Amino acid sequence: MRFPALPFLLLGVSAAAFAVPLRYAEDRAPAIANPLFTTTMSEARLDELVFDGLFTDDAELRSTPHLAEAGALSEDRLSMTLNLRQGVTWHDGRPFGADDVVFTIKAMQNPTTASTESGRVGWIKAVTKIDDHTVRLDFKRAEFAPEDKLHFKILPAHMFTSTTVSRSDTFRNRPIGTGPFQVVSFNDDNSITMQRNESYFSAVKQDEIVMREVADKNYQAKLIIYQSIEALVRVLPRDLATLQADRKVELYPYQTNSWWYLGFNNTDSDLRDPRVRRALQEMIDIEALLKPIGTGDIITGPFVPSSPYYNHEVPAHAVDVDAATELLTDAGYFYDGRSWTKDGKPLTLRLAAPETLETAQDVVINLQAQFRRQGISIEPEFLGTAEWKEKVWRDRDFDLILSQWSFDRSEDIYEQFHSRGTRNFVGYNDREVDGLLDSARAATDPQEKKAALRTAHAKIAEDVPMVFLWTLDSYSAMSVRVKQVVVHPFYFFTWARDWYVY
Amino acid sequence: MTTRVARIDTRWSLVCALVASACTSDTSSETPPPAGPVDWVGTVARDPASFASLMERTNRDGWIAFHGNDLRAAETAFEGSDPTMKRSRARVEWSLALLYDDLARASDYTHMAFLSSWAARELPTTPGIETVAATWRGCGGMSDVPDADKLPDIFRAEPTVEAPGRRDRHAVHERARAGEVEALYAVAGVPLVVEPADGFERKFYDPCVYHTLHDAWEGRAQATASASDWRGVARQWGSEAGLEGLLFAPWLTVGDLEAGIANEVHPGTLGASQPSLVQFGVGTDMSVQDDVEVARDDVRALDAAIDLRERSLIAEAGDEGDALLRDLGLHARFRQEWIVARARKAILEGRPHQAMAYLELARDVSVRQVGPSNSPSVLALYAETQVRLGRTREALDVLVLLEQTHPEVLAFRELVGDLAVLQGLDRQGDSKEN
Repeated sequence: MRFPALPFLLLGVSAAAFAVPLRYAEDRAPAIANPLFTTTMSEARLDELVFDGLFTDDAELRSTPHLAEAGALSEDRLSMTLNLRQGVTWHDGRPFGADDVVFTIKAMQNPTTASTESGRVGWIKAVTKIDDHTVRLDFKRAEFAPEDKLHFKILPAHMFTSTTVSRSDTFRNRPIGTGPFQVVSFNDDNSITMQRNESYFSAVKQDEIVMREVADKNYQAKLIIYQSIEALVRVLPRDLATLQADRKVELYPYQTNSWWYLGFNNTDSDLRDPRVRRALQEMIDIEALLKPIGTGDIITGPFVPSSPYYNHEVPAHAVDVDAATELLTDAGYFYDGRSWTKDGKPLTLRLAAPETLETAQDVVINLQAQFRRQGISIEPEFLGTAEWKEKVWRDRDFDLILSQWSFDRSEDIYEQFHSRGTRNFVGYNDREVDGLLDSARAATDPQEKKAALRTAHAKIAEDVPMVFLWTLDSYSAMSVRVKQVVVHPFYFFTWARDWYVY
Repeated sequence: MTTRVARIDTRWSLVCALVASACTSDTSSETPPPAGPVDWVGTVARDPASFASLMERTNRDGWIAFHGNDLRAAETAFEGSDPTMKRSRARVEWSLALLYDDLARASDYTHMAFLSSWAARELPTTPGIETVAATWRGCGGMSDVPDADKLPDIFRAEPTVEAPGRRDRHAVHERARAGEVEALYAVAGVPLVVEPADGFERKFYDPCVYHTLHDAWEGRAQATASASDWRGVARQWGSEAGLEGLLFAPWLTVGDLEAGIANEVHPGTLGASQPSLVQFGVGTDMSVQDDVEVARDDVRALDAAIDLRERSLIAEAGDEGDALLRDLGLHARFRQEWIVARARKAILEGRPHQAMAYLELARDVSVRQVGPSNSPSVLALYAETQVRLGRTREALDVLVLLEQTHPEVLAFRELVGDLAVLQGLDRQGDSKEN
């Protein structure tokens, strides 16, 4: 995407200054506005504006009723009766009710739908409509605080013909929610315009919100400095000092427990061998990859260093070409002085990266050079959002992937590393780790959970299903004209109904 | 960060070189320049010789360390019985006492939340957790915790089994209170209790470390100042003192300090409502509304005034004053010290949202760690507001940074981690790409 030169933009600002929309920039526009298939942070942030859950976080991050009005847990904790908020309407004016809740849960659970969110309702055994505003949930096992798991977004049953929903359903760009903002248009420049839901059940202060896709991070920083946008969701670490010094901009911590990784296709005939994965890891100079991006912490496993689950005893790896040579030789590879081969075929790896992942191109070029020096060829492929979902999520058609995961405060890595995980597209499969992740989910003692996940960290690091790279300092930037801003640590816009541009 | 710190170190050397003639002359008979209504930022910029004189009469390395927020190094450097040196040392000991008071209060709040959540989750008590509860009660941990009467009964009894190391640890605390703090620092990161459980070990850390460190540093400050309470310590920096009573402080002038001594009820809020704020366009009265926008407006007003003052001072100052002003970041230092005092007052008066907004604006996020741009208190207080606002997991993001320079924070970080896990046990995790 190309953008006009700054002077033009500045003119645009002065012309639009009285409209006072809240314009925020994303690296990548949401590819889909259907919470059944949300896979990226930009989609999750859009969902937060357009849809509601049965429960949500209050200002102190406690679960509080939202589309549900109240919930009564049975004495045996195996079921819950939910009274739904009355008088709520969908953006098309139709009333919200029990049918919508039943539909959403069943659609998420329907294996044919293949919802990427199915893991969030796996604990619900049955959902039953009692009356138009009452549903009963039955659980697979006793639940202590089921409201903590009922934050997923509710969909309008009347927009679908069955609980088998296709990712390509037209709902994807004609979303109807109950949320504080409704989508007015998906625009040609990939921006999305949303307006206040006048029928919302609590006050919404801002009239209009516009999401703009701005893939160039340098450009994002300029846009907020020149007041062409009011919010920048993620600031690149190298821009923090500049934006902090600007009196028209304020920074807000937005640590989404995110980390970068270089994932191996663990089901590939060559990469299935742990010696090959370890050898490749030994060749990578992570510090050199990180340097052009800015400040961050190099990680040794699937958590950020501030996580209660991070195992600080796992040593950081250092480049060790001798060890890599030994491992590859053991695995049947031969170095001819120029390149590594096996059975006469050179070791060549196809690396996929999302085309809009901030600064991924720099990392890939650097990585390619590092491997080339060691006699390994990398064939990079930068994929658009739709291609990424197809080739990586669905077909697992890659040797290496460069990407980033973000986690909410639970930092639950089950979906990424359990053999049954819905986001485990690197194909990692280890019985011990499966057991540890199961134990962590079942644990009621916090220290038991910590111990299980710290052990899992060490075991995963040893198995090298991916090379863990780094976590970056994550801040969002907001114009001082945006008032009453409190940023949710993961979903960002949870309390956006209180925000307004002044 | 490295570049900035290196530049600051170079500037510190340069500054003394520039004023070498003043440094080498006999300064013992010089009387400190009257602080009067002149603020310390303006004094240093307009009269760099006063700064050089202070460096000579005390210890330049001590001030470098104090400026770099390396408080323990500063305290060691300011050794000696000269009154100016003692007043300088008391400033550092005061800062250390405040830091540990902040950590003790945050730790107490977190212990209360942890024990209450443990009981609410109907988890069984163990000798280990009983020991922690009893130890915490014993060191006065509950004295300032809101709703302390709601501590579950199961944590009010003495432990059924005495933890082996508890008595030894008690002795370490006694020695620290008597002045030997090193032994306590050495064991602060060692669990008080390690108990085997089913397939894992439960580890609980000492809940009293920060209380004792506060008491020890407060005691030292009082001894250094020959005072019996915090007001007595602070009075030493009044009209009889020179720049050492003001430099890098949240109060700008002696008048501001004296107003704080008269009006504030907590030593950590000195400067929060100082009269000089009026000239910065900031109200001396803090809003009683727990509103983020109130805090942001205060800081925005201060920033606008500081920008103007910085330009005006640069125009007035000579090369040396200009160098000090810019490269030691004097206005930025005052800004952060003042915001921290304001945030602490907001916490103490029960306005955590307001405190969070102050602290978000106080931190230098381009640097991250403790150093010239970030005091340990700004990180400790930020972690505290996060815990008080239910953002327990988020508190860990700053505690892990604070621990890099203050390893004794490990105990608090592990406790906050336990609470974060406990609070999130029933959450269904969500993860997304990018």
